[in-house]
Amino acid sequence: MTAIARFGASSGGRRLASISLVAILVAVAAIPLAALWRAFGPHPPYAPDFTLTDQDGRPFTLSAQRGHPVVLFFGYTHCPDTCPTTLAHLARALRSPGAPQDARVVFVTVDPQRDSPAVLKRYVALFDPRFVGLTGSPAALEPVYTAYHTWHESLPPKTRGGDYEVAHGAAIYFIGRRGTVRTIGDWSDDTSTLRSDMENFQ
Amino acid sequence: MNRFVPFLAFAGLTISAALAAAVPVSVSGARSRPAATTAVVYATLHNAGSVDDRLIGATSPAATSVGLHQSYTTKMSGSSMGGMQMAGMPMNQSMVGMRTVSSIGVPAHGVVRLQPGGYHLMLDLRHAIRSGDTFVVRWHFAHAGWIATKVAVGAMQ
Repeated sequence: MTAIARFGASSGGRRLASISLVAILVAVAAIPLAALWRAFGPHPPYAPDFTLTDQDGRPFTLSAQRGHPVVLFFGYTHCPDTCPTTLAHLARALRSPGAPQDARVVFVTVDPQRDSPAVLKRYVALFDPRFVGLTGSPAALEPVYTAYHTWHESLPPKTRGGDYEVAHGAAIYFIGRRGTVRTIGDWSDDTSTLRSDMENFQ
Repeated sequence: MNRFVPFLAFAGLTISAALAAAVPVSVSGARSRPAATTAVVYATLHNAGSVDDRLIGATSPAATSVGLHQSYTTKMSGSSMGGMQMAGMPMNQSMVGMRTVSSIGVPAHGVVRLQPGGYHLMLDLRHAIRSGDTFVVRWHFAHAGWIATKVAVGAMQ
């Protein structure tokens, strides 16, 4: 700045040139700065996007749901206790008067080996006809588990039939109409917490 | 023959009353929810006696197998996961899992609840069960022996 002031004092032409130079430098620098800002600056917490297969065998892309609130939860259909408890609570929360009736409640399997679209179709319909069940190849599912911090592990079979259990992350993601994560709940949240999350996350 | 019927009925009542007195363990509120392949049963186990007992198994005509299970939840805080974040939000993720248990203790003068997130029966169903259905579960206690209850299927609170 002092350098510019000194040049300006010596000659009006040089002063104009230096101002133009600064303007050009600022303009050129602004392009990568804007990109850097977009990449590393504070940004709305968008939910990581993915495409998986729904219970009717059709592709389901998260970002294509923009405009609808989405509730995302991970589990598996052979889970007798916590997964159905969570889905039953979500179904009840969705039926509360203040809940967004256009919400998509999405259940992503952590057990693609057993949870085909047909198995998921029968399962999610037990809770609410609007629920969506998603599966896919392990290659398609793994990045989704990673993005949503859904650690999971198939435990060694204990029965002669070879049935196995899967331990898994129990977070419930409330994604608003603009595709941003609004609230992160947990399977053990009571119904009033879930109802309030459901009413407020749009 | 007919003369014996009241006697047999009386004897039967006496024996069941005696058994009820001798078997202080009972099961109440047995319930399940609609399911296609894998169902849960919750209930409350009561032990009015002065001797500890254990639930060691269960069977049901509705299931090919019935297991005693316990769900567990492990809390993992964002800081313990190296500052785990979700789309810019710090998050605490809990993990749920389930283990098979060989028995469920019911202490003397005690009550044990089989409920979401804890102990439960897991049934591999022969057929799908719907809201409004009922089925039988036979509970096997180490001391009290076998107790049969009806399980109501419905949406649960």
